[in-house]
Amino acid sequence: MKKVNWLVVAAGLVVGAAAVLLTALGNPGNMGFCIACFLRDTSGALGLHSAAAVQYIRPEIIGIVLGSLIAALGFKEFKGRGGSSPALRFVLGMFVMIGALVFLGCPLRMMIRIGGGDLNAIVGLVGFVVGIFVGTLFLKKGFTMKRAYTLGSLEGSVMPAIVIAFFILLVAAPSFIHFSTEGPGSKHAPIAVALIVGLIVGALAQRSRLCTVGGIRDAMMFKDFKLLYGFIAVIVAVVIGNLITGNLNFGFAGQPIAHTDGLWNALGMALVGWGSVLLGGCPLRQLVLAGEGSADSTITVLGMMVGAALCHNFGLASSANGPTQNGMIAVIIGFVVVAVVSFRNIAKEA
Amino acid sequence: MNSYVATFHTHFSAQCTARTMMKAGIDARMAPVPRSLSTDCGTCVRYTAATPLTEMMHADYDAIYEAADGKYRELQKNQDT
Repeated sequence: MKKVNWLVVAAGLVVGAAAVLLTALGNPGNMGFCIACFLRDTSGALGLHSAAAVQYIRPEIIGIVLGSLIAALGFKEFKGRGGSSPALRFVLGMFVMIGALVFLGCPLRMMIRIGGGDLNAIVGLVGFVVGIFVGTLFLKKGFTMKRAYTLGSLEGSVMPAIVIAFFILLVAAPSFIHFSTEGPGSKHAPIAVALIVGLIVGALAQRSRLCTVGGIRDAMMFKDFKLLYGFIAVIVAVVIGNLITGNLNFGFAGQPIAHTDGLWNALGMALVGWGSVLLGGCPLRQLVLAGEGSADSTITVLGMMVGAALCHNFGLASSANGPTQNGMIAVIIGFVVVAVVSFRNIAKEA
Repeated sequence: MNSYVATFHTHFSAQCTARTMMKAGIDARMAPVPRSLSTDCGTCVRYTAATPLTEMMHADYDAIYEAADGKYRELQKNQDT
């Protein structure tokens, strides 16, 4: 067995415990953390979409980016860099978000849903693993988004600056910022707690390189399980937390903010897995990289926010009633786009 | 013989370098980048050789480190950053 990296395990346990805590303090069920949902809520708060039930600037997003920034600065790892296929990253970010909102959660929420007993998320995990496997096949064939270059600290500071602006808008609450009065967007932990938890998670994720996609990818490609232990630790912490708080409910039907259509749960997460392998990391990892200076990840996060807006403007996002026809079409288009990017970006060895 | 770790800007450049080395009979393998090194790309090449084999590196390599006792000493940085 490979050596266990205890920092990764500790990060996973803290993320899982934080998710349970945030749910206990007001976040929606099995949604202590969800990068996709929280970016979607933030898009809604900014008025990029008008789904009244999912509009709120989530302090967790702000905290993760700034936590990563602080950790990266503290350990001299902050570096402004970018230029690795930015437009393609924007598009891939959009479709990763569409896949996530057809499933109803990013990979992190998928793990949190598993920890809450939501068996639909196990179906999603199967799709996710298959998607990652397909992505690794293209990596082995020579897939590349081309390299990034050093661009300077100002370029690397864009995402931290954006989230600081989000924080000001959240606290100042001007009339043009939308706040849900009902639905998931109205359910949230106190701002200070959510921000502090986000800061801790962002810093730990930066130090440990925690990535839900990377864990499975490394296990498949290198038989290296270090990151995967972090993935498992999240689920273990959430199960224990839910046992303590009495929120562990095994089953398919009636799970919070979830639907029971297995095919589209799996296909949505397969799109997330495949797209995230091409991007080099899951949505959480993209936020963390954006915090430590990656302009490419900043572009990806902005793509995810636009993707979230499209999901609600075009009726692509699923609901508790299941996926929509538009959502199914969008996922199929997503597979076509991701396949074209995968094939076209295979480089020949020199 | 010494143990080395080479880091890269892309997974593809790591793959090219590993294959070049393996074709030349060098004991080389791809692996996740050690946490204490670059965070740019997730993949590195670990290899055992008498010299750092700079001439075998793909153009997009980032740096070469000597590995000993779990610690890494930077030997060479690609100036094309």
